[in-house]
Formats: sequence, structure tokens, C-alpha cells
Amino acid sequence: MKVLLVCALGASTGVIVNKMKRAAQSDADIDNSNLYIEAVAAENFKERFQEFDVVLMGPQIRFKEKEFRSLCEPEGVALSIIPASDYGMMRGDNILKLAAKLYKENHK
Amino acid sequence: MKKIDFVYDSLVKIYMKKNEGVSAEQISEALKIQRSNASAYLNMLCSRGKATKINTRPVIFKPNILNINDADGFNDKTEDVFYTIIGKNDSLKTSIEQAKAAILYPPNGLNTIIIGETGVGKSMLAELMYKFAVETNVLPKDAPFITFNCADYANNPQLLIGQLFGIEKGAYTGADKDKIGLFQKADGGILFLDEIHRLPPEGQEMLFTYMDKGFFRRLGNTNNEISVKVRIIAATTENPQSSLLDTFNRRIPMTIMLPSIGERSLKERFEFINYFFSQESKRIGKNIYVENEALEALLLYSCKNNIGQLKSDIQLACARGFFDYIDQNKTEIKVNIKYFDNRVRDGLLNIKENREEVNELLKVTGKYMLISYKNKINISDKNNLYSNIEKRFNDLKNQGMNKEKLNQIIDNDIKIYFNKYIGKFNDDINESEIVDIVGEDINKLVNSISDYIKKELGMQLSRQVFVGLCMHIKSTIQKLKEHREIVYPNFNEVRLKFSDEFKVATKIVQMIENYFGLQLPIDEIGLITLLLVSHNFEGIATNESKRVKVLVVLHGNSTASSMANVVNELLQVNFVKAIDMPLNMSTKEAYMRTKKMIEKIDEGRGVLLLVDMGSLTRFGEMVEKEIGINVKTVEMVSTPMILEAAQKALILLNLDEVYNFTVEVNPYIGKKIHSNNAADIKSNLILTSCFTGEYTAVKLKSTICKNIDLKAYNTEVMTISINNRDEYVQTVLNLKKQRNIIALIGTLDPKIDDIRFIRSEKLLTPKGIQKLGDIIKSENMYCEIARSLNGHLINLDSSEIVKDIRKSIGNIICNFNMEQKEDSQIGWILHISFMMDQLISGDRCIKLNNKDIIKKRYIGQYRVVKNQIDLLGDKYNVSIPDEEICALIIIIFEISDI
Repeated sequence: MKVLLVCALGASTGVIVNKMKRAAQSDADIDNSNLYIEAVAAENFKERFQEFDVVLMGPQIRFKEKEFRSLCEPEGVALSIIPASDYGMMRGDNILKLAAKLYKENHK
Repeated sequence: MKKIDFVYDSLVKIYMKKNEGVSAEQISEALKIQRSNASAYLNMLCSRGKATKINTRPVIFKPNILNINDADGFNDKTEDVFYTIIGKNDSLKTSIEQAKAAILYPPNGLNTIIIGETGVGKSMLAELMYKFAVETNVLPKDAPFITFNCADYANNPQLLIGQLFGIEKGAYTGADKDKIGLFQKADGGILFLDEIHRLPPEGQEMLFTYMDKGFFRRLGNTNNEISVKVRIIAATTENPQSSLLDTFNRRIPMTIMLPSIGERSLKERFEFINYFFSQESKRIGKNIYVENEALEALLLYSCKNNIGQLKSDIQLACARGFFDYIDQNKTEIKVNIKYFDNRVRDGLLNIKENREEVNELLKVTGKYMLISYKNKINISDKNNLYSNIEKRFNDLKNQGMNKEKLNQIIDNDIKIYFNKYIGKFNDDINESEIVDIVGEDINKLVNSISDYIKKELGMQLSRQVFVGLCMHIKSTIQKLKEHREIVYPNFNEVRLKFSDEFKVATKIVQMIENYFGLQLPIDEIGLITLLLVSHNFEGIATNESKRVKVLVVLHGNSTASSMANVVNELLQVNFVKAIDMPLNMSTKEAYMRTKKMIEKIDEGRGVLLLVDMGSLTRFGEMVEKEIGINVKTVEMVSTPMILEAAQKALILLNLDEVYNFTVEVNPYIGKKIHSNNAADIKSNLILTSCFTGEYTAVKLKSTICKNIDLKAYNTEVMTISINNRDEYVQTVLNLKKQRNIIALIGTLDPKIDDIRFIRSEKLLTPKGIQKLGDIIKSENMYCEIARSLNGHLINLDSSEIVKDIRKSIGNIICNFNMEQKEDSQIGWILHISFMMDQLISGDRCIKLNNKDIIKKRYIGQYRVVKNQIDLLGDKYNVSIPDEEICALIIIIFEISDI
């Protein structure tokens, strides 16, 4: 599962990526060997999103959701906004679960 | 209505219908009364001057107003006093018809109120109404026309009422004989009450009594009713919707609105311009040539004080033109655009939109328009400005004065002349501006202080001190409210040195205390003493009368100078200097200018430098090092801060004192950073409070506990009781140190920074409770966010930075009136926290290609966001690059098209 986190300028998502990775190690449902998580700034989204299965956006760039979704859908890439409370508290575990759920739904 | 009035009424009606004399027969038929009675009444009307008897057979009568009617608006061919009025057929048509009707309305006319801005011609209309009344025989030729401006005595109701209604002997000490009031002087004529909104309540009451009953009593007399017949014309600048006018509207049947100059057509404005130039030309007795550009500017500039201002602006330019004419021995008097102030010249900026209309009006042929002095305009006022200029010029020239100096002196003379005659406009504006800034309350208080000083000490408060007191009291009250300290260390020295002023100041402080029901610290007396002293010492060149100078340096084309202007004007000083720094000016250039200016203005007591942001904040220190003048810098400056600085410099405080007071204006700035690296996150607390002996707080607590799942949100409720205010505040402050106080609920708001106060009543409804629940929930979330950040931020205390960021975001949102979107804001908080942390570590470098576009396109947003974020940066001692600001703008304002 390849997960792309998008935020404004890559300030905050780096920490979240690490937290997600750590959470993955103790999550039995996750296939750690195939897990890849990366964070990019919204600016670079267009060049990169095709390489991923799931895209998760920070709540502060919610206003770009429509634009990104229209790019993702034709390519079969799942997309969601990270709930503000999870994002704010940097709940790597919850965010990882969200990614896994989206991935599963997309690969039924 | 008495029978005789009916007779008069019907006489008027019949006469109007048939336009010929009316016989007693006709009246007796119309009113179904005896012919002999009708005849008797008609004769009575004649003896009262209200009708004229024409001895034909049968005898016929004409009502006296009707001579007029031939001559007034019903018949356009003839001229009346309104004939020469500009706009009589357009913008003033209704107003003039109303004015005539008010005079002609039988039997005694209508009391009238004229409403319009300063300078629209209210007094003129009142005067014309009087002339019209005389012209139409409604009033006899020798009827009085008395003008009274209620503002003249507004501060002394007693005196004002005495003036209006008269004073009975013995009404008060010193009233040793009866004095006739203006009402009596105006008997049989018109009393014009200007600025009626300044009439105090007692006066209003007496005026209304007169309007209702036709009599009044003198001051000091309760028995003698004095009956007079006075028509009242009132005038006001007050907005017609104001509640003050309500009372008048109900009593005064006729309201005439006069349009402002902006509401009138350019055509009419042009007629005015023409008229005023013609007036001047006649005064000088020579033709005037007016440059077309000047005419264009006059047509289009914003003319705040209306026609009165237009007139004085034209006069000023004519005076300057006249001076050049005699000075340079010219053959013609030319009035060029350069003789006008910038304010007028700015009118040319509007030329594009009005080109066609203006060309149409001016019918441009040459460069100048000729105004002939051989015009028919009557000049009533015999002011001899022009001959004065000429005389002064010759005098000075004969003294052998050089040209430059001479020019300067004369120009100054002209300015002084105009200040004397038309300066009253500026005063008017100031008065309302002061009220705007300090509020009606304080203005009133200082008025009574001013009266007291005049009465007790025979001292007239100067405008400077008046304004100074207003500002000072406002800031003192503010500080007391916020529980900030007022300290003036040199208290004793001042007391000994200026013991007289000190005594007055003591009394003033007492008055302030009584007025607001507050206790002021004793230091306040020292400060007010200085304020009074500053006035008396004006102009005496001791070391001490040298002031700390105030210099404002800000980004922007005119930001600094306009802020400095406001302050100089308000305080009527000139020592607040400004340097504008347009965005394209280099830092080096700005520094050189600042340095030069500081060198120039310093009088040895140092300079307070007020700046906004960026590199400007370091200028003071650099200048101090380089040329050794004491400079202190205050950043993030606002107008209230400049005001405070100027005001404290005015009272001769030293640089440190001026600085301290200025910084105090905005408590957020200059706050020390309390590093609190202990990782403990404070638990949440809700406080309920009530006065001792009540159980409200306990009840509130149980309501909250029952309805909100406090445990889930890591929150407790605590009850405190209030014995006295100080103790209450102290308790809250102590708790604040240990806990995160989400809200304080109660009936007494302690007004502590950062503490949310909720009135108890709000919690009586389920909706209120739910709202509190939401607040607790979101507060807890921010708390959790801080907790989760803890350990990820290397340089920052997470709960502190989250709090600070929330404040900045709050300010930005508030500034743009944006919707509160909590989840976006959480994103911003995270973003900014990491940004700050990484910037402090020095391991952050971002690139943003479209930075310049954003700065350009979102300049307003840029300024505010930069302001707020720089505040953060300052607190944590790190400078925030432009790229970061622009990136924030993108996410905050959701910009997706760049």
C-alpha cells in the first residue's frame, strides 16, 4: 500500500508519516513489507499522485479537495481528508487505519 | 381656533380662488355668520395688519399675505429674495418652496428646522426666509431677526438659558438687574437658533413650553409669564434619524433638508465657483483669469465642508494669486492650480470619469477663464484682505526685505487670516473627532473640568490641554479596567516644583473619580500636573521645555505621514515627524533618511522611533550607535500608540517614560517570553463564581456537571466566591498560572486578558449549555494538540506556541471577518508550529515560485498576515521569510488559482 500525504508546505506531515510508520509496526492488519508512506507539498501533488494508491490531505487544504479528486478518480487513486482531530493530535494510528480502509474499498 | 382665525382662513381661501378682493358678504356666506359680524372681524384683521381694506363699493378686503403670492413661486416671471439662489430650480427647489410655505402659512407661519452638513447654507436660508417674510409683508420692515448659536454656551446651560429667556434680578449672585433675553428681543420677528442639537435639556424644555403655550418665564422667576410672538427657525448638522432630533421633530412641523455639495450637480457647483470668483474679482476691482485646470479641480475635489469651504478655498487661492500679481508686477491676476492646496488639487484625479460633463460645463476655449469684475454681485462684507496684502507688501518692501523672506511672511499672513476667519471649520471637525475617539462621556467630563478650572482659577484650558486631558483620561480608564499599573516615579518632585498646578490636578483627579466611581492611583495626580504645566511652560526655552521627539517610520507611500498628521492635528502639535517608506525604497535609503531626521529633530532629550516591522525595527539601535543620540524603538505601531507617545512627550516626560507609556498601549507587544519547558500540560478548568452568600455558583456547577461529559474532556469545574473585586481577580490570576482556564462563568466580568467570560444567564437554556459543551470540547482538543506536539517541537513549548498561534489566527480571522472553520484552523496551527520550530532550528528552507504574484495580488491579506506572523516571530526571536507568509496566505485564503 502506497500512501501519499499532502499538506501545505510539508511542515507538519513529516512527523505524521513517522507516526504512521510506527503505528504500522504494531498493527497486525498492515502488511509492513509493502507499506510505503511519503509526504509532499500541495504544489508537487500533480507530478506525484499517480504513483500512489491512497492520497490523504491535511484539513487546511480542504479547499483543494475538488481539484485533486478530479485528478485522482480517473486514475483509480483513493482520496480523503484527514479528520481534523486526528490530524491535530497527529494520531498516526487512526490515520493509518483510514488509509487502509480506503485501500481496501478500492481493491475489492 | 378662534372665530377670527376662521374668518382669516376663509378670506385667504376665497381670495386665492378668485384672485380678487373679498367682501364681507362673501365671508358671511362662506362661514354662515352674520354679515355685520363678518365685517367686524374683517375690520379687526385690518387693524391687526393682517388684511387691507379697499374702500370701493362694496368694501372689499385682501389678506396681507397675498400681495406676496403674486410675487412668489406661483409666478415665475417676478423676482423674490430667492431668485438669485443657485439651484433654485433644481436641487433647492423643494427646500425653497418649503421655506416659503413656512413663512406664509397662516396665521403665524410654521416653526422650522433646517438640517444639513456644515457649510451647506443653513444660516443663509434662515436669513433669506426672514427677508422673504419682510418682502411679502408677513413681517413688518423693522421686525427683528435674531441669531443665536446654541453651541456658544453649550458648556454652561445656566448662562445659555439666561441669554435666551432673560434673567430676573436676583436670580443668582451678581444678577443685580433684570436682563432681557433673546426671545423678548425677537418679539414680532424671527429667532434663528443655530446648532439646536447643542441646546441642553433644560433649554429644550423651556423652548417647547414656549412653542406649545406661547409664553415663557425668565431665569429666577416662577410667576411672571412673558408672552411673545416669535417665529423660530432652528438649524442642525445632526443626522435627521438621530434620537436627539426626535424630540424636535415632534414639535417642529416643518423640516427643510439642505443637500451637501456632493449631492448637488456639477452644474450648480460650477455656478458657485463662478459666483465666488466674481465676488473676489469685484472686491479687488480687477478681472481674474482662472486656469482651466484649477476649475476642473474645484469641480471635482472632495469638499468636506461644502459650499462654505469651496468659498474659502477660492478666496485663499485668489489671495495668493493677487499677491503674485503685485509682487511680480504682472498685468493680470491669474489664479493657477498651484495656488490651491493638495486637497483641492486631488480633485484632478477624478477627471477621467467626469471628462465629458466637465468639458460641457467649461466649454474650454483657452487656458484661462475670464472673470470680469464688472458684475452685478453685491458684496456685503467689507473685508479688506486685498488692500491689507498690498499694504503689507509695500511696507515690507520699503524695509528692504529680501524677496524670499517677504514671500514667506505674506503667505503666512494669508494663512493666518484664513485661519482666523475660516478656522472654525477645523475646530468643528476636531470636536466631533474627539468625541469619536474618546466617547461622549469623557468629552463631557473634561468639559466640566474645563469649566471648573475657568471658574476657580480663571484659567482657560487651551485646546491642547483639553485634548490631552481627554486622551489621558481615556487611557487611564482603560488601564484601570485592564488592571494595569499606572506609575509615575517623579511624583514628589513634581509636587514640590509645581505646587499650584498640583492642587488643581488633585481636584481634577477627584472629579474623574467621582464621575466614573473609580479609585485612581496617586501617581495620576503627578501626570495630570505635568499636563497642566506643559501648557503654561509653552514657549519658555528652559532645558525642560525641550521634548522627546517622536518619529514615525512606516512602510507604505503615505502611511506614516498620514498617521503623524492625525496625531499632530488632534493634539495641535507639530513635533510628531514621519518618514514614509514606499515598498520600492531600499533599506539603506530608508536608514539614511531616518538617521538624518533624527539628527535634525533631536533636542537632546532623545527620540522615540515608532515603526511597523522588518528591518525598521533595528534602525533605532543603529542610529544610536552611529551618532550617539538616544533612540528607543517601538514596533507594530498604531495610531493610539502614536497619540500616547506624542501626548506623553508633550508633558515633557523623559524618553524612558514616554517609551514605557507607549508600549503599554498594546499589552501584547513587548511581552516577555516566559519559557516554560516543563512538559506538563495544564488540565482544563471551568470556574463558576458568585458573590458570597449566594448559591448561584454551586447551582451552575451542578448544571454543568449534569449536562456535559467533563471527564471525557479532561475538565473540572470549580466554584469561587467573590468577597471583593481585587481578591476575586487575584484568585483567578493565581488559578490561571496552574490550570488552563477554559471559561469563567458568573455575573462580574473581571476582564482578564485571555480569559473567556460567560454570563450566568447564558447557561439557563439548553442551547447555552450545549454551546459551553462545544467550547469545552474544542478547548480540550487544542489542549490535546499541544500535548501531542510536545516532544516533536525542539525549540518551543507546545502549549505556549499553540496559544500564541491561536491568538494570531484569531486576529487574522477577525480582521477579515472570516468564517470560523475549526478543522482548517487545526491544520494551520500544526503548520505554523512546525514552521516556527524549524525556522528557529535553522533547518527550514522552502521555495515558493509564485511568491511575488501573491504579494501583489493579495496585498491587504499579505499585510495583515505578515503583521500577525511577525508578532509571533518577534516573540520567539526569529524572522519569518516572505515565502512562509505567502504559503500561509494560500492556505488561509484558500487560493487555488495561482
